[in-house]
Amino acid sequence: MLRRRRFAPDGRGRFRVQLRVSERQLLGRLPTEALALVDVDNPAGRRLFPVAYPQDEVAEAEYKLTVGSELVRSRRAALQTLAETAGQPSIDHGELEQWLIALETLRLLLGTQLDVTEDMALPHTGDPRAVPVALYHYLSGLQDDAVQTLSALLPPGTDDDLPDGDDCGGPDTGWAGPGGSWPGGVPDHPPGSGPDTGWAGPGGSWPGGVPDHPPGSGPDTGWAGPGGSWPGGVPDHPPGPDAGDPGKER
Amino acid sequence: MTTPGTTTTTDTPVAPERSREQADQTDERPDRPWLVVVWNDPVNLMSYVTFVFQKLFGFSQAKATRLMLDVHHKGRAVVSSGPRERAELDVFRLHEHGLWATLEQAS
Repeated sequence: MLRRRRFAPDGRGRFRVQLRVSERQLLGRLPTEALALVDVDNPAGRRLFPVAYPQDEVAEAEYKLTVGSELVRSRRAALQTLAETAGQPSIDHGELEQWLIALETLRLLLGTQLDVTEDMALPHTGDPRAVPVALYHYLSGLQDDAVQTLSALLPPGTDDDLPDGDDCGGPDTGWAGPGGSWPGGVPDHPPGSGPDTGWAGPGGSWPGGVPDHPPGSGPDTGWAGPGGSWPGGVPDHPPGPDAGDPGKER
Repeated sequence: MTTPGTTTTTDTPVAPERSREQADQTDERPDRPWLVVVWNDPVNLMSYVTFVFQKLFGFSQAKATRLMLDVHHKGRAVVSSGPRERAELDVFRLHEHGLWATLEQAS
């Protein structure tokens, strides 16, 4: 399934952001709502601040003391950049990198609350997890788009200690590589939720629950609206291990 | 790196100066290098992890992909090693990018 390229280089060092109005509204609002969760003391944000020294409490405390505030600052800055630039027709390279971190932050927060697993199945319509899971997958697809765009701009890099006879990976991994296409198993537009499907998460801590259906994303978005079915174009099964999915969750 | 200098979030020095007392407590053999280990987790995209390895460490796509697949299939992979301060800075940059990274001293 061909998908629109959502971050297209314009040839002048910027990237055209090709998103629907409803997506821009969502991306303008979600980061602001998530800001309060980005705190070293907030359990909802624990995944944002991994342990560096799992077997040394003293060293870990020192590490957190040293870098904790910077980790909070940089994540919040990325979220604010996304919120402030979500409505722009184009963004520069630095802003796209900030979008990448902001999308990562949103996925880590949502993924923690959903307790996602690598083989998480798509919930059925009506399942209270359906909307947040769809949102999670939407953000995954968008993040993967940003990754593909930024990856294409990386220098070749070095592989000086790459051993001969790579013993891991190979065709059985199901990973199509950077050039592979997303198999169409993930919605490329955000889910919405009606007033009665607002999801507060297992911990009930996502501010305001998952955002409501963005206005202006009517039939042309392919989204069936509150209480409706999954976003149009989404198959009734998750991408399998053989789907060649570049964005497959690890 | 993608474009050195443009990502202000990754170049903040973080490795703390450790007193001799602290170093003595932890580093029984200070000459042993510190290893930066990245662990598998269910949230991060494979493509994203590969990109982060390329961006932060200047790896080729082949090497970054190999390390990513090591993490995915074996549960963990050592992505860099060196003096403690350098390794801690690498862990910090990986944490900035949301990867689950830890430090351990080589045995």
